[in-house]
Amino acid sequence: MVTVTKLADLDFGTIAPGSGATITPGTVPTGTGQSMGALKIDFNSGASVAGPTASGLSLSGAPDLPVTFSCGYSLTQTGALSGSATACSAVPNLTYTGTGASVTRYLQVGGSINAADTSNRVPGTYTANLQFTVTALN
Amino acid sequence: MKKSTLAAAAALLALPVTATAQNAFASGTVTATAKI
Repeated sequence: MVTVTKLADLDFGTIAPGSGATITPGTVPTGTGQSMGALKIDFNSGASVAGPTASGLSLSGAPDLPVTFSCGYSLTQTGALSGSATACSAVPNLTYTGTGASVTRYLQVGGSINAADTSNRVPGTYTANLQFTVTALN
Repeated sequence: MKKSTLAAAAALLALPVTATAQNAFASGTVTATAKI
């Protein structure tokens, strides 16, 4: 049994042209309007997590804004990671050592936007949907 | 017992027993946003 609940979206806030933005899993973002993405995962067996391979945010009529997405597991929504952050497309399996009772982990979703990629860019709100699929392993 | 009955019983015994375990799965979507 696995359940996935979205708790928060990933928001880089407003970025001035020529500036970058980074939201690091395991660290509470401090910039205005910034928030780290978070999924709550409940499971009672080992589970694999398939993350997105997205590499940018989109705005209609403009080139994509490159983003390097990073993810990590934690015992809390915004706390320190259990292990290290990885690319969201390569998060490790969830291990289960219990005897049937459900346990909870939080998948924190962050990313980084390079300063060079925000210069001379069409202004607007760039977005992407990052889908994660969790599959129980028997 | 009739031959046909025996044949039917034998056919039933030969049926493979298949147990299929379905992996449970669930998905969630995080929306990422940046305003330039």
